[in-house]
Amino acid sequence: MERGLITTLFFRLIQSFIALLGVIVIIFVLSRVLPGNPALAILGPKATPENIQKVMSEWGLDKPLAEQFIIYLSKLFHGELGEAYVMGYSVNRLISERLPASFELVIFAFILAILIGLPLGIIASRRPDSKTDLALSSLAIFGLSFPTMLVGILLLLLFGLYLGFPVGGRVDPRYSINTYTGFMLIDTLLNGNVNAFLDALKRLLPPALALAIPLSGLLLRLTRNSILEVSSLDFVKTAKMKRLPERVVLYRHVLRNAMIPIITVMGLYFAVVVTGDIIVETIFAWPGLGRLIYEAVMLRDYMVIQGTVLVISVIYIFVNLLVDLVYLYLDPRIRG
Amino acid sequence: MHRVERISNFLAIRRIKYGLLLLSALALISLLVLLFSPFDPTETSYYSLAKPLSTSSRGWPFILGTDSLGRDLLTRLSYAFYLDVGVGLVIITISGLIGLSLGLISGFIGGILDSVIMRIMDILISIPGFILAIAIAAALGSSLWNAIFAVAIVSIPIYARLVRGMVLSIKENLFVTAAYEAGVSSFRIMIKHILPHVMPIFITQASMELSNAILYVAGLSFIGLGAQEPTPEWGLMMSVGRKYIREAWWYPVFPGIHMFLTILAFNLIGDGIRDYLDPKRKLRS
Amino acid sequence: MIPLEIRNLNVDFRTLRGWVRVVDNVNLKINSDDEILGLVGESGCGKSTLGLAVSGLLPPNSRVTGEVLVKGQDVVQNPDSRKIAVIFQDALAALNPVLTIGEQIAEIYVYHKNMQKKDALEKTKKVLVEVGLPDNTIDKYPHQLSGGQRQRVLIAMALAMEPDLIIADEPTTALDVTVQAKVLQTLMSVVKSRKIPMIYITHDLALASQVADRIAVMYAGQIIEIADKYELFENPRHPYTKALLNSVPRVDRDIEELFIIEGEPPVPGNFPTGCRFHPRCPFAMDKCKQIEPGLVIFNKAMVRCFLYE
Repeated sequence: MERGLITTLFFRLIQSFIALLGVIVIIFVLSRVLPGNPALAILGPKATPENIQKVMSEWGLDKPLAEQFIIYLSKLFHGELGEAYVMGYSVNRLISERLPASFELVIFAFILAILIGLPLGIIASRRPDSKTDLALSSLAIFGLSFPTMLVGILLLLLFGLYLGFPVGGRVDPRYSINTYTGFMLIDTLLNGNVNAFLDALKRLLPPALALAIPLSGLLLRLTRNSILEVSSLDFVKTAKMKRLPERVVLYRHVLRNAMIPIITVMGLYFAVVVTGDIIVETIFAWPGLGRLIYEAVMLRDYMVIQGTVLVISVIYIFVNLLVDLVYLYLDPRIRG
Repeated sequence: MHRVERISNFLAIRRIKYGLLLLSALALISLLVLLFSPFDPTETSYYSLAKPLSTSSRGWPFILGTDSLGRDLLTRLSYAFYLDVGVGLVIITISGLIGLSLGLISGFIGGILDSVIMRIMDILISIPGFILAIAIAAALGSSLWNAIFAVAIVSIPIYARLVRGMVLSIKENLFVTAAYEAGVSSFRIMIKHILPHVMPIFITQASMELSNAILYVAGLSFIGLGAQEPTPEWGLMMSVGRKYIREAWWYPVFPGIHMFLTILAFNLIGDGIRDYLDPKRKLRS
Repeated sequence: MIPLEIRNLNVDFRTLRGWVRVVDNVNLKINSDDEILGLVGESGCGKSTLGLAVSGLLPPNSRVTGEVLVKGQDVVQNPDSRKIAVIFQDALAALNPVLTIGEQIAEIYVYHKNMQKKDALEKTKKVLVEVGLPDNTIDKYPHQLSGGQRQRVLIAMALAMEPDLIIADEPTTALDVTVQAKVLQTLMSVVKSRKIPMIYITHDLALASQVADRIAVMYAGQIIEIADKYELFENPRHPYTKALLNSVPRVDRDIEELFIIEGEPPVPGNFPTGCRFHPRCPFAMDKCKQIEPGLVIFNKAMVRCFLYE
């Protein structure tokens, strides 16, 4: 295929756009598939006649379905996700309050997973089938088979009860921290409050570990297998023949090629992390999007669930797009 | 070449053996408990609230302790085993059959039908599975059946794409063209010629999806969207148990361990089947 | 000090059934810097393994015994002193797909000669031109080049190493016939002009005759005949060599019979007792089935066959 880089990029963007539209449609359909008056389900326990009237007029629930969709679309266009009838405030506000917390947790977990899984995977690949390799590979399978629920609860026991780490929230509410970046770890330092920093770290570490452990198991296994597959290819022999330093062979030749399948799978791993995130935030009472979903389910606030699902999906589509772009950069063969 | 295959086959079979062993042990224990347990999984007891290994008022031992409503944990877990595994099997059956059919039709017939089906599958895949399951389950209402439905829907695209891919590559094969030319009906071609080749990969995928299905249902129940009280279900037990973690750590932990062992067993089996059927895997030199 | 002397080289591989010998007691020499030694044999006879053993590129589950003296230095004992370049058969697989040609060749200069990247690239351009490629090749990726161009890149890479020995393992087998001839021409001319000794591995005896000055024939892990090329063609001694020659139809001779060798070459670990060729040899005697023949040395040749003892 004689596609240039621009054309490939263009088609990829279109693909993301279609996915986005599809998601919006699916979420809309789901909200209208509810039997009976959607307003009742949306309002849940707050379904008074006047509230019902309010919701019906706001979303045009008495109009034909196509019109409802237009109303829904136009609201989305303006960035409005609706009102959280049960929990209060607007959905937008709830989500934007919780998003940084999830963001920090997920990124921290990813970094931890990479720091653990990648080097161990490299070590395991050095001597395949050796005792080290078998031990590490078994560890990996063990780690990735652990349901996030169990890891979370065990870590909660370990850190929360046994070690006495603080749990719940991102930082002790007695500290007042000015928000600069949205990252509590950074903000506490920027505020000059080392105690707050340590406190925030103690609260962040257990849930991040809970997320990171299964992920690092996956990464370990993937890294090991990818390196082994690449190492058996001829160009590695060529590199060795050139008597380049071992470090150069590993990084410039083996890893640069082995990374490609690993990065490609990262997008998928993001889904794994997001899934685990919801569970972990619930267990550790971490004030992020995951816990927001949990609370919304408990309180039966459908608008919040709908809005959060939409936001998470958008982020996921975006991350996948990013991963594909990075892949395009890494592998010149795709560029054509 | 033959020797390489034999080693990896050997290890794969060993994995399947361990997995099956573990699974059988769990299944057997649960079965025995269910048959002989003096406790009713839903009978609450004020006198035995949240006790660890101890004895009940009637003298029978609570081997794994009780939960916050005084119900024997071991009995509940044994129910949960068959419930969750059963639910998992139902899910992979439903989603597998639908996915298989869609993949077969899409791959074989091609054309606009194929494009449409695949577009829908692509869109379904562009939402993280668990998130979409949440959206569906939330829309339909919190119950175990709705959770099953939600997870099944979410799992369909995997099978559809896999099967379609295989169908497309098999379609090129001569013997299919020969049959087609000979006037055999399309349906028969699909069933007799294409299906047998698709099946091994399909079964492998399904066995690997089983753990996933169980995890998703447990996850949904964990956040309140799946099984409801008093159903004994792993996710639900862990969710409620979490609140009592200080006083009764065994309440959330034992269901977790039980679920973990079961998932591990299925993962071992699924991995083993996959390695056995794919001789190209160079995991062992 | 001759460029290459291989003494009693054995290569064993570890398998489920223990160690299996794939290359058996090989003795070879290259006598001068402008000599090309051809190594000919069927697939599975061990010729590629021999090449990998000499260049130190065998996988970890292998074992090498014996001596490989390159300019007097035993590279088996001192692997670091090795300066042997290998030109592989599949150039696309032999090149790193994510690096440009320039980067892959320049790194040789950067790491061996401590050059700056800029100077290294300049030298790279020179060596690319030497093998007949334009200097804008340095910015291209392997998948952007044709098969012949890629093979030339491998040749350039070998030259950039300024090696004491080049081993070419079926470098043109994967190419079209017309391209094959041109690339071969380039290879031979640079090797001769730079006076680098070369081992040319191939299964094609006719090809070997075009390229090599001397030819060693390998069968089932052993060298069974060595002769300089004219001698080999005028007077092939080992029955296997004769069979190889006869199975190529020739225009300059009447074909008495198309001598087709029956059976398949034996697999390492399952070698016949005695002479390894005896099951397929029309001249096999009882002796051949029991005792392994040694090498018989003639004036310009050596054979491993009881017919000549």
